[in-house]
Amino acid sequence: MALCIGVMGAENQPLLIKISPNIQDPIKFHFMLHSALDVVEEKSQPLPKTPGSISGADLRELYLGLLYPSSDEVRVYGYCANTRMKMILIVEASNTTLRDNEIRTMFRRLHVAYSNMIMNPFYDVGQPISSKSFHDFVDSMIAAFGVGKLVNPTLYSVEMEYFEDVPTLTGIRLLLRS
Amino acid sequence: MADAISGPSYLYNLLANELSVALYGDLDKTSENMGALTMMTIKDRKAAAAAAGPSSSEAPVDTSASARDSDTVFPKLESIGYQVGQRLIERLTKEHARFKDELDRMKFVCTDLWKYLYDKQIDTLRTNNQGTYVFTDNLFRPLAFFSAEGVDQYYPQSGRFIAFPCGIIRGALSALGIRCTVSAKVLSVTCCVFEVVVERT
Repeated sequence: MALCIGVMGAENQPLLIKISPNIQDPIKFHFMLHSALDVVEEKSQPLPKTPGSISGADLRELYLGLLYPSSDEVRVYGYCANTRMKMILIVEASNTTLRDNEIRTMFRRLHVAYSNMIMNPFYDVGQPISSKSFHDFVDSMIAAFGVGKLVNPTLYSVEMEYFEDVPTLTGIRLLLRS
Repeated sequence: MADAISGPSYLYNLLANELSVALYGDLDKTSENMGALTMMTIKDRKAAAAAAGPSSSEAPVDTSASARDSDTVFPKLESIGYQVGQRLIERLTKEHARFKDELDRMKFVCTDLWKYLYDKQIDTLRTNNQGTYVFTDNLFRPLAFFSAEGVDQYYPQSGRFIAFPCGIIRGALSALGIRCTVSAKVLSVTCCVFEVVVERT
């Protein structure tokens, strides 16, 4: 489910990046986080004045929703606070139980944790986060949402192998389950 | 929003932390008193003002020190205020819709932030639409209980209590993405004017 959580500062500097320990290629997630920042930037810009447009109403919200049209593997969600602190959450696409509302709640909880963390006088605003409680919180958030099967590295390679032999999707699903 | 603006307890936690970190040891007694004064809640201040009535003769004693202090203590208090403002604003804007423009952010500082800090709003906000904003607070809380006897009694000393609020404004605005310089003037003992000049790059 939650594969990766990234927290970025006002100048887009990474404050904290946590990737689920089951992931084999964290570099890919770093790449996804960084490219997601461009979309966040774009979506959190003040709008051109088009009164009454639906997107206008949406964009007053801090939660930015799905950043890309969903791909096969992952879905990327974004959140940009008024202080330009950004949070990005990557979840598995296969997980259909996570609705928009749950993601929103996760972001809100993260934001509360962040605003609590920022009260720590030993933390300099805009520096990488070293607070243990915040790390634990993000860890628990990743752990609580687990890691599904498809991204499990061993199964992932199985899928790739069988893709050549069994062309139908149902075939892959069955093989994976067995 | 009503939940977020519940009272200034966060402010005092931060103040206590920041003051002890920044002022620990390297300031003389006068400045520490000043820090302590700034930390009081409004209720405390009322009590202090009442108590300070008879002992007010102590206040002029530090005039000799104040000139020496002003160079080092003001930036220090201002930077403490900056830290506080920067951290507070994250919490206060958590439930707030995304700001539209600069004026929107200024309004937030004048209404919500000020209400959170001082239980009242800024009385007037004026701007020349070119990056200069003037906030006028006719009954600025940190100065509100000064006028013990005669309006001008503490006027010379009142300037030192505005460095910290200046810093808060600057910190809050910089966290919201507006880099600016803030200066303040005490017009009469209870009336304070803040001038915010936005830095254009």
